[in-house]
Amino acid sequence: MATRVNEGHAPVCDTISRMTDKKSDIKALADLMVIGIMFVAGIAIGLGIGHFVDRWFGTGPWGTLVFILMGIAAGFINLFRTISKT
Amino acid sequence: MVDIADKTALLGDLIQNSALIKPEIMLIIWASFCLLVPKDTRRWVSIFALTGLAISGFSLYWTYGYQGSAFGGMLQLDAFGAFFKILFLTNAAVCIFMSRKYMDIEEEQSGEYYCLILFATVGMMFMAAAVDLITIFISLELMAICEFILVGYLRGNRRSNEAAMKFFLLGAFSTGLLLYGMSLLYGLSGSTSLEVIAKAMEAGAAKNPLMLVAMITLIAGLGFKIAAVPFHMWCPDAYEGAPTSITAFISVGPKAAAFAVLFRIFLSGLGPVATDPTYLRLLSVLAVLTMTWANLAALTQTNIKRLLAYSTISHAGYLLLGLIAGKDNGGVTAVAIYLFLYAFMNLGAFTIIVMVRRKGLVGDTIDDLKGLVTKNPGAAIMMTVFVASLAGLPPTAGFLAKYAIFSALIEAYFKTHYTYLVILAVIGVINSVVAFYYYWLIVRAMFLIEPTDDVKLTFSPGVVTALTVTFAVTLGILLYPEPLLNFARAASNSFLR
Repeated sequence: MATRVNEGHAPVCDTISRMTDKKSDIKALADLMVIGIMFVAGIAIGLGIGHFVDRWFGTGPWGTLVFILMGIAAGFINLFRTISKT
Repeated sequence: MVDIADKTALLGDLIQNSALIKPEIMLIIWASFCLLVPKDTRRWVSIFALTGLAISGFSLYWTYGYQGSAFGGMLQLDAFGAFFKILFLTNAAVCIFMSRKYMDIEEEQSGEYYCLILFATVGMMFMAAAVDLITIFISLELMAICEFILVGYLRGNRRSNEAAMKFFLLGAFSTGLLLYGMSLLYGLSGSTSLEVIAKAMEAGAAKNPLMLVAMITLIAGLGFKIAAVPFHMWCPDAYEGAPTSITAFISVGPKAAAFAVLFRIFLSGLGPVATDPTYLRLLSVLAVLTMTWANLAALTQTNIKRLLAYSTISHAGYLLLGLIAGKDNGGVTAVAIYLFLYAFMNLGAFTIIVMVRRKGLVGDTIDDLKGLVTKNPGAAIMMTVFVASLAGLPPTAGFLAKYAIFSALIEAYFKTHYTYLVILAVIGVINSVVAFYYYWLIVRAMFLIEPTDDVKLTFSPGVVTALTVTFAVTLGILLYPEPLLNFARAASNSFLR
């Protein structure tokens, strides 16, 4: 089946309806404000785990390296999910 | 106080340096004029923008051959930069060719659109020449901001708006990470110049534990720009939502620019760190993840723009293999060849998708290509050549590109005897085989499934030109690859170490 174009100007209508609905507006704002904290928290947790893994198992610098990278990736995934939801 | 003699010397120096960035200056002037085009003649603004690209190309020809730095070591003029600049100008030109009719259909024909394409190209051109962290960052932002706007250019389309918002927010955070890495590099070396940073690394800064954090944030920041897994999640959504001509534009130019920066930073700026097995293994893990994840995710796609997005991600994985192989083993040459050929095959495939778009039909699903061979055999054959090339099948350009990358890896193995290099090459080949399947889905839809509608392709002089150029390079390069190979080798040799 051929895909049809999404006619009309949905985003404009959405913005207007969202503006009239103050509750959902505040909720969306709260969701977006968490993004910054979530992103940094992901990296910090990754760094913490990596640091302790290296200390306990003597795997330095691999634990820190892999876990920070995983923390950054988790931060991005969280960010992406929050934006998609909001 | 500066006396008159000093001022005159400063002015003379400025004029002399400005002459070296003539291609970029010409493009900036043309981009600014695009905004002044009257409303009723907007259809012709694309021709005007193409003229700007041609003039910039000629200016590049006159400055080619100059090897040295400009603006106090902020920019490096060499064959490496020139190679990438030609690639960016070609990319912009092909995208403008395919945009003219397409933007008419989308009813978004305007001077701003072409202005943003030209400004993004200027950003990319500066990125290819930048050898200072400040210049790298500013040019990267110039390119990225234009990209964000272009992705959300279809204001009345929800998907386009959503894609732009996702792209912008994720892009902003990744830029923050990149900037953090750059600030750590500055802290470790005391300079923003890549040459000075390299010297500081050799003097012992590379052993500082903070270097680890700097490397990770740099890899994550630039990994986002090249859409390497696990920083790739923006890519399929941005590609799907953006106007198809812009999807084509951002699938080639910004990726190539990010690779140019990656090479400048890793192979020039980080000195001994670039050959450190720990970081090379980390990059190897990233490359394997990128190739494998992208190829597996592409298998289930039904939207052709999303499928090509995952294909682009997997190609970023192959390109990372070139970085791992290193400059001395032909890694830079291989990546330059790969990026150049990838530009043509990918732009060609996107041109066919642009031709499927009509009023009332998005035309971005694989189903929309059903029975294309009965509607337009020529377009179906061309699309087959493009996807065969993306898959890396001989005698297309993609085969040469993949051959260059894998042979660089094997050459690196014979010099270093690191077993993981051979394992990487094997994983790369296995991934290429996996990719055959989803490229085959496109060919199957075109040749083996009956058409469900009689929608004809949209032809215009612009798309025909874009198609002719991309098809000729994709199929003809193996007949006469010498000029490309020589240019890529010159780019690699000129690379500042």
